[in-house]
Amino acid sequence: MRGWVCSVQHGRRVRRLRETWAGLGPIADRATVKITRRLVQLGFLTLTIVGVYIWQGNAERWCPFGGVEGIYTYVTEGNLVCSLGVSNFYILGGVLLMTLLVRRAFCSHICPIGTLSEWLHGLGGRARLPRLRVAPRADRLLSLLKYVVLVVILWVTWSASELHFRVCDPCYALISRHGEDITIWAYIVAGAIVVASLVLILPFCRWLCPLAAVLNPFSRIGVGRIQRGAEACVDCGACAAACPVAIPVDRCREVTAARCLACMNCLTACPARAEGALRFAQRGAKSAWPYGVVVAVVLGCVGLAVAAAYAVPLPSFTQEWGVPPAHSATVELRIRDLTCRGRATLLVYYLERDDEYALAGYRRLEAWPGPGEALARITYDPSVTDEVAIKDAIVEAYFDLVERVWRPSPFEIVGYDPLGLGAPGGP
Amino acid sequence: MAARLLLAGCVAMVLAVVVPALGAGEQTAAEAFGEGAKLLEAGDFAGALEAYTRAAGLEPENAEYRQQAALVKRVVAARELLDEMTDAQRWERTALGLHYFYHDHKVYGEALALDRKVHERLNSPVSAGLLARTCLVMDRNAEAVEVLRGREDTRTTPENAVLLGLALVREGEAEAAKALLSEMELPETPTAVLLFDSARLRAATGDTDGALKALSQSFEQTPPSRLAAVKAAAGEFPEFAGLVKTDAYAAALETKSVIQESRCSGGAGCGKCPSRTQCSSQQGGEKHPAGCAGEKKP
Repeated sequence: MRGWVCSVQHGRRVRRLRETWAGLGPIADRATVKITRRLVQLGFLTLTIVGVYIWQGNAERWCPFGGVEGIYTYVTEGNLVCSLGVSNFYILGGVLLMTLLVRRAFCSHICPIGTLSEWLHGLGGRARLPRLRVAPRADRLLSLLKYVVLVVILWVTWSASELHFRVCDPCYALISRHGEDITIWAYIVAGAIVVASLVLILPFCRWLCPLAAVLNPFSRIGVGRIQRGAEACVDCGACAAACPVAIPVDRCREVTAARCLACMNCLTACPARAEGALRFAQRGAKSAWPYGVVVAVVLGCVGLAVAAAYAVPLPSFTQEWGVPPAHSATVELRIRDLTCRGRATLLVYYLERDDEYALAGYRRLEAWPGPGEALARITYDPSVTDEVAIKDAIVEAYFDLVERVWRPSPFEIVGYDPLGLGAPGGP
Repeated sequence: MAARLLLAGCVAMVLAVVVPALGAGEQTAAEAFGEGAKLLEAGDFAGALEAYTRAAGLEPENAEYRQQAALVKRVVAARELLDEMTDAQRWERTALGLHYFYHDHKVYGEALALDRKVHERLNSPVSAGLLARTCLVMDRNAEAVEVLRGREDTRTTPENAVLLGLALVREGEAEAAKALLSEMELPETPTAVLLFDSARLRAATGDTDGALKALSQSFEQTPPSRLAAVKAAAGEFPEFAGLVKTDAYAAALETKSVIQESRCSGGAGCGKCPSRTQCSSQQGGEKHPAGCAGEKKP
């Protein structure tokens, strides 16, 4: 009897799993797709909140737009603006790959601003706030604004090698736990986005997001596309009405618009999707992609980027002196207070010192500035200097002949305890 | 009931006596740091280093304590090595570093001995200026006059000319100081120190307006991070004694620095750093700008 009950329960579980998988399949079940997407969004939002406020992590390092802002300085100077890291490039690469495969699914599945904006709009609907619709022509004009925003941000950031717009960046205000350079403008912008999102669908994402401007060209040539089977279509217009970015899905054979978020709202709204009226598939392919593939691509690309960032952690700051010798040695140091590009430049200054702690011969500094203990790898010529000399050059006070003042080093090397203090600096 | 109350009272009394007594044996990091400063001022370098190291050990997360201990350790080593140094350039640099350390920490006795030794060896306008300044701080005005007056280069070195003027006023030769002042030509971009000293000389010779003007200019040229300390110290100079209670002096104290200086605190601070554009070599600044990444940088 007991075995029979277990068998029945097992059978039910298998059936439920099959139903769920079927819901994620080519003929997407509205509720299953919606719940799955909400879970993915919730997962990334929770990860961001936990990472920032509980793990006290540097979430700025995982912003794909940071990769766009940092690339010019990294290519031309070998270091990154402010406290960005090479992880920004990896995550940008992952998001671009994701966009090439499943359009702007990043916006509809991962981006915390997109998630909050979408949910706020849902909340506005439940609160019976007015739903404002923007005329198609105005929408097209407004959507050009994001390109202007992108050009202005990149122009200023690349020419000054500095994240000037941080002061009014609502996302940075949140992920930096109100960083000290944040101004009231960041909260004004955040408030404006919140209020606008209650009555407008994704206002920031559609019209102002500079990352969207970067992703759009990749999305345009994206592999996965919403395709409409004209023969099976019942011309109800439900797909176009469900689209959050106002794509006239009911009037095109294939959604080529770069702004497609791959949210699948159109697909799940289609009453004739089982008959092939609407499907998400590769261009020219016979079989449709299940929604599970979209989720797998989203998670896979992010996972790949994160794994790459940890597996191949390229330095975000490099500097070299002299010609590499035939035989070199390397020392890896964990340094406290090596928090940003400015601090890494200060470290360079100590490595370039000209007093009795001056270092001779070839040196190469590779650093990963960041909060807490940051890694610095120094390659040197062992025939003219050694590890202790390098450590002393970093931690010893320096007398500035120009300013005629002593400059005690702000750096502390983990495990190097020249004062004999014991405990905290110990290995 | 009465017995219980009596017992509780006894326990409270015992605790009141024992707890502070137990605590009295433990020195806090701040107390150790203060002790270090006192020992340093008294010229006990080994004791100061021990106290500062103790402060840093008691509060390892306090960067100021750790940095001060490292600095004093460096100075102690430099003091020991100075006489053994054979490289002239290195010797001069070390001596200069020690001079400024002694002045920063008001160890003037050590500074005087060092400056005499340096002047004897170098006999340059710089060494003369260092010695004269120390003499002035220690009110050894005759020695300051002796060091600077006979030198031909004093008249061509405004820094030394001002110091000579100050010493002459104190020695009762105000007219000679005025003559020196009238002949003196300040460079196009005088340093904050020179402006400050010239303000002192003008005040000492009775040129109040000129003194306050020079004082304001000096404040303008002082980096913001040091301005409050300089303003506080200004009132202690005897030359300004007659001015400190005037409205004009109070107005001069309101002067703000025009020097751009980083307020970088690491990471998030870059956005506000006025030197940020110079961080990048593409902006023409091959080196990190002076004062960037905090006040404590080489």
